[in-house]
Amino acid sequence: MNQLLQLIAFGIVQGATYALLAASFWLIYATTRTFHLAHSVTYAVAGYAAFVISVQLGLSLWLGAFASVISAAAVGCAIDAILYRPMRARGASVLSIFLASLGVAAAGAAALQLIFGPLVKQVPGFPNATLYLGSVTVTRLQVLTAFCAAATIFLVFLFITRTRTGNAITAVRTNPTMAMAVGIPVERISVLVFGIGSAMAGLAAFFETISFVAYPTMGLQPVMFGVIGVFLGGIGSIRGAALGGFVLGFLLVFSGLFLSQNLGVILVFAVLLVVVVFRPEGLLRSPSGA
Amino acid sequence: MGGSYIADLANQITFLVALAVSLNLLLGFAGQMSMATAAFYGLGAYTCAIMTAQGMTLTGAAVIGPGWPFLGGLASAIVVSFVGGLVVAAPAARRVRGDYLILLTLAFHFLFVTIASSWVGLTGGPNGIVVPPIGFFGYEINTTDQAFWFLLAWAAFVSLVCWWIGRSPFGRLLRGIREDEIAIQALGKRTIAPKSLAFAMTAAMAGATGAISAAYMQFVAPTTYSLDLAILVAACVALGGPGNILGSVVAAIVIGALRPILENVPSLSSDSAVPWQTVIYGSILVAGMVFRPRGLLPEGLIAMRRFPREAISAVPRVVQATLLKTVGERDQPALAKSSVPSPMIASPIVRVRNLSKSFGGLQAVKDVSFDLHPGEIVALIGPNGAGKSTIFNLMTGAIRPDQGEVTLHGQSLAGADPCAVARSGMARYFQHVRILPGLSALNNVAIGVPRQAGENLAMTFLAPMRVARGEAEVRAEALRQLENVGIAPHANRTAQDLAFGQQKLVAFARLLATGAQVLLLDEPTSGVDPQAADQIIALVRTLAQSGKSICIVEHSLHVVSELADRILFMNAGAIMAEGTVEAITTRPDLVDLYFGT
Repeated sequence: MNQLLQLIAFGIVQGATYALLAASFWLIYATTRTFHLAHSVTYAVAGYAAFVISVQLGLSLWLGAFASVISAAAVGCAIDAILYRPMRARGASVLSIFLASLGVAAAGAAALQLIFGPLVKQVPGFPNATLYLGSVTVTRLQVLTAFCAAATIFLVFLFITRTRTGNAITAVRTNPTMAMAVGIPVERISVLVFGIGSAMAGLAAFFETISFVAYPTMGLQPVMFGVIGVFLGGIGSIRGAALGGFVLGFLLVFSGLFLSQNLGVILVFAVLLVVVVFRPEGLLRSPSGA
Repeated sequence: MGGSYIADLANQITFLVALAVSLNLLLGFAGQMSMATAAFYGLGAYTCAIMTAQGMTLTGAAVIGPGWPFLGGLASAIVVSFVGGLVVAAPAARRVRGDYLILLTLAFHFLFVTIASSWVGLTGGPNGIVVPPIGFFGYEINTTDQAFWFLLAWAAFVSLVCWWIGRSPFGRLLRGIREDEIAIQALGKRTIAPKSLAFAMTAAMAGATGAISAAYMQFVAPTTYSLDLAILVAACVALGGPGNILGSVVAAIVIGALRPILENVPSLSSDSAVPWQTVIYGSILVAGMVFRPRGLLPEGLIAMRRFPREAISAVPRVVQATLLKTVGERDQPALAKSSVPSPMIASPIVRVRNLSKSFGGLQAVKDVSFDLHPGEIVALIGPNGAGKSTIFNLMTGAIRPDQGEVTLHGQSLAGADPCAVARSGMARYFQHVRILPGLSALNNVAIGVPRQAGENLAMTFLAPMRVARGEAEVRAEALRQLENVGIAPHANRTAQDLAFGQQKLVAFARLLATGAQVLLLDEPTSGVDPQAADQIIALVRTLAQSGKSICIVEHSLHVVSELADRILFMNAGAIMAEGTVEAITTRPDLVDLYFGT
């Protein structure tokens, strides 16, 4: 029983992070139809931004977090405005946009390695402590990570469902041509979702960096889990994507109980295959909801 | 391994060439993206390593090792990666959107790397496994110079295989799927099997190359098979020109030569050569996609066969006079022209009975029944939203009816998909044409010809002469259909470069090439100039005289009155009236409904 509670706690912590990544990838992918693998570069830049501000410049961790989020948003917007937008305007195929995204992913990670070197970077200084909640043991950093991730997802959910701009995003997602016809500035919406989605990834990257380390290819695996979360939970809504992230987190944590951690990855792959074959819309079907 | 440094560099490039041309088959021809190149390369390498291993890792730990000879390891690598490719592609191949393939291949890559670096008992974990060198029948390759000729031959062989597949009818089918999968299904071609097969072939060639590279380096370790390698290979294909095998070869040689050149730049440390190479090819990939998306050597520049110019210029521009004769002879050999039965006497080919379909609360089609007879032209008319296109969707199996059924030649089409319906002889002409923009007009039509031996990949290799003869017939048939519609002079032009009216005629020729007995035409003259419209009207009339059954949805009353033997007037999902042109156009209530006065 105690072990079960402990696993649930870890599942929530892990799941919240994956849910944040899935929601961030979903916002960009579902709205602009861009399979944005260069999201991994955005993520890594955010991790290094925290390192530059909080370690190299010796400023506070709060400023480091701020730098992570802002730099991620800037990188995401820049990729969309400089690269994807001209390609869309020229009628480039989804495949060539994806290939360009791959080029950014490869070149970006290699450029970070050239600038910062191949060694990992630590950002110490978070006043961490172990918390004992009944029989469950978690760290303060884990609680903060999970809380920030869940709160961010909730705020973005409110933004999409309750505001005028959010409605415009939904309109572009469901029918870009019609959205343009009724006067929604589709290109501006596109930059906006790249900004918000990238900022969400930046937040996740900040927490990974202060919990572990930053390194040039740190973005690949999180983006991978984000993508899996989106397709697992459902490409139709942010709730689906977030649910997929949580399912992923719980799968990995709970499989650790019976299996080795690597068999957990096989389990994820198996579940993904089953979902793609039998429920291609994902676990949560919602054709029109947000 | 001994031997010269230059030979080793050349050998590394041959691996890149083999991987690039095999990925081009999938990415360039079939238009499907795979992120699993490195994973299949590694799967082959590990399979060969495990099957040939002597049971010991570099550090002396015991691993599984049956100790097969190199050729056994290579064969097992091919089989394992081929099957692995089918398993990964099968769930994604059913979806029209390619994103599922990116997702599954990306997941497969992570799965592979995780297993390779953690299942120590099988793979040696992060330390890897020692692999015996390449050897055949007692002859062993031990230096880089000896290996060079073998590896060069392998890269050339893989390139030839891919080139051969690409120019075969199977390659044309793959390119058709890339351009418009739904249009290909509507022509009666299966698309799932060719897509899966292309994926498995690419995986098998990458796996075999992996097995050879493992035996060449005499060592496998997980770090070799990174996502960066997958991106590098994709960059070679994209920059060389998707759909052009020679382009991939050139790009792989150029990009592969970057690293050794950078390693010898004095101001760079050897550690930074690899990231610099990645920055350079990544940037070239981005720039290439922005400025030259079709690559250095675009598809069709060299690889596509051209129809001899003389043959085309010899074709008269308009062949209206011979049209009836050619169409009639081919499709109705038993019927002399004069003995085409009167439509009303013959039994119907198509029976539509009590079709109903609702979308949510909207009853789009309500209890619709009608027949189509041989040689008859039936027009479906009615205001927008009357349910005309929905009826075509129901008849071709694109959507399932709530009630009722359609029979063709007395057999029920219940549960048949568009592909099966087209195969049984009822083909559809789309309102939005659905031309294959990147293919020549001739190939657009050739792809419509049913039962081509060359669309079977095995036949392409096992019976090349038969395939070549069949292909000659297919091309002759396609050219004949282009003559029928009067645009044979444009046979070699890419479909997207033709005027809209010409594209409609190409789509018409493609429809005729299927040999279907029942033709469903969705607004065949909308959006074309009056001259082309008259041409299409004449063509449709000729087809009906040759005994085909034609159902036409059309807004132009001119076209309808020119063509229709019988009109079904629809409104709000139901047939309101049925009769001749005169009977319908003289009823004031229907005219009011139609023109909304």
